[in-house]
Amino acid sequence: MTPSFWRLLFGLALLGSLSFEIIGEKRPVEHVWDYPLFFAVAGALGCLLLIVLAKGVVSPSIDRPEDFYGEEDAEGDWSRESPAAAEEAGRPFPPAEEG
Amino acid sequence: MFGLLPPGFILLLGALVLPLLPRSVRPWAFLVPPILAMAQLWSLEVGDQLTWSLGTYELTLLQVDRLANVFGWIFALVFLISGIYALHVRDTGQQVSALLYAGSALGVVYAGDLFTVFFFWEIMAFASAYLVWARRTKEAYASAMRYLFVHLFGGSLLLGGIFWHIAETGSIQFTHMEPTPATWLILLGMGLNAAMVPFHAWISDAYPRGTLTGSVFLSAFTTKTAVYTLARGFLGWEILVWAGLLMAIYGVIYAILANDIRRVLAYHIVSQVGFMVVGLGVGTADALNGATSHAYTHILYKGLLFMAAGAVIYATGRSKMTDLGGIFRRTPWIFAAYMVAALSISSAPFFSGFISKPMTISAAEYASASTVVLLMHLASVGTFLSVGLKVPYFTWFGRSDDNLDVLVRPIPWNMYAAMGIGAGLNIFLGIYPAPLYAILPEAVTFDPYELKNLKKGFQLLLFTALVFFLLTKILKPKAKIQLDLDFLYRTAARPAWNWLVVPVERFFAWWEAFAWKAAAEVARLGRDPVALVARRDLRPLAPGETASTSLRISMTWMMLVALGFVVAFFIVITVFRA
Repeated sequence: MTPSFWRLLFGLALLGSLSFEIIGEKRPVEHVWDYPLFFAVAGALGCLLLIVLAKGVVSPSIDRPEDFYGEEDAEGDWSRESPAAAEEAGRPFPPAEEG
Repeated sequence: MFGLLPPGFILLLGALVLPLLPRSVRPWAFLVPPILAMAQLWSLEVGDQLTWSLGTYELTLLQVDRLANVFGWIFALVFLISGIYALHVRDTGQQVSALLYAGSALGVVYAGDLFTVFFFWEIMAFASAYLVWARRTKEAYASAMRYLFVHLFGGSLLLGGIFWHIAETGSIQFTHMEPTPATWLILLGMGLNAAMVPFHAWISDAYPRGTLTGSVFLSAFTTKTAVYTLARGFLGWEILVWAGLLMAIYGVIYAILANDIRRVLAYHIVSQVGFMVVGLGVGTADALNGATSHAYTHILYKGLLFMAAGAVIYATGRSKMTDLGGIFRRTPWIFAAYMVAALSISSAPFFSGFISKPMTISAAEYASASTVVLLMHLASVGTFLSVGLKVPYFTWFGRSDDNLDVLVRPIPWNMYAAMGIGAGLNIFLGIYPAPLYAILPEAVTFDPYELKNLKKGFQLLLFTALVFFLLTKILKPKAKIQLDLDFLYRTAARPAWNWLVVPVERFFAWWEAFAWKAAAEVARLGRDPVALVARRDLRPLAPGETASTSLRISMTWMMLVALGFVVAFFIVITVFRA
């Protein structure tokens, strides 16, 4: 299944979700979320807002290097060790068990 | 089945018995206590009570009502599933501490008085810290210590509040509370366990560092026990609405930035518990149902998320999205289980979150300001963005189709079995919520499959996905950590050490050195007392060296002087007696 197939499917799903605006009874507008297409717009704008907020505002001020609190431990990470080195050190590779 | 035995005690007894069994049967025996606990839950009836007199107080060890039962059932159930997930683990310490942990969580749920709550509360702190400790890496050790101290701090707030409350009211019963300084302290103590901002940093610190199986247990009990106690004591407190909203948004923002997959999930506990706390703050019957059912489904899907994340880490040895990617072809079933949980947490229609989160939001629509509702929708968007889209995209896809840099080893069959059961339950409840709705504290009026709810569910998620696919590049994870409020006590640790511990340590070191030196001087003088008189430089005698001639002469003089004193003494006595 090609990427264009998935794109088509996704596009159809978007249209399908919009079709909910047509079916079903019309409700009187009491709150802002009673307007048609509110949730489509809220989903897109909300997502955009969060990305801008997180990546644009929050991230630059709180991102730190991974060893900020001292050395980041890689002890739990067996995937960086080469099988040959493990064999030399007498350890099974991949490690037998981790709880 | 066991009379009025509180269900938590079955697990605690299991913790005592388990180490006595042969090593090879322990993982299987581990599954027996939760099954017995479920049988006991089945036979207990609403209104059952067991009290025990301790001194002048009457402790209520068991008090069964509908609210407690919802939590009791899901705790026992998730413990069983997590036990299956951990069947390959041969670590008695972890098994015993998991039993103690879940047993005391059940103990809190069925406790009727504040002392019993506090007692089990503290066991939970220690038992759960061990599940982080047991990873046995340097970072896990440090993290578990921080976790433990933060929880002991919370426990102190709780205990202080309890004593104050008892002094004021004279009652130790754990019921709904009115706002006083004492109950505020209790709220803070319980809020810390619910990961309320700003007392939340322990969760993103410790949960990513727990053992792969241990974090599954951790994700289920601590925060949800706290949600239960908040429901019991603080239902309808207005402050909870705002505290919950802050949690929901704060957790989501950090989750978007985090790189470690289990850290993303940990921040989403903060966010999802936020929804429950909002529901409890709203406090209507529908909102209580919403918060309770959301706790129930949350335990199911969050457990499954941690299981799938643990399976990825087990298989690849990597936990950061920057190191992963391109493993879909080799781990399709882990991906499938993850997606079921991710769609559940995003409350996609036909998955478990869809029957609980919209219930909470709908209750807020009727009883709260529009801002509250809109912020809850915003947090929902963020949930889907990070757990439903970002993590799966950068963990399983992201790079080339097959990223051969990442080695993948097979995972044990029991992990698949547990994830299968978890996924099945999440889908089952999503499609057929009646069994859960039947046990909720109040009668359910909410129908998730009304057209308007389906519209919300589909539109919100699909249009979030649209923006994600357009902006995927911006969201690419970075090999960074994000400062959180644990920064305060992690960086304060060194100055605190330098100012508080080091001076004391230096003083005692100086005093000890001084005392030894003084003793050495006294010993030397003892060997050469005349040196003082002779004003010679004091020097130690070399081995084998005898006292010098001058010493012998001086000693003779000293003996004569002493003799003179004795004679004079006798003369004086004789003269004065006469």
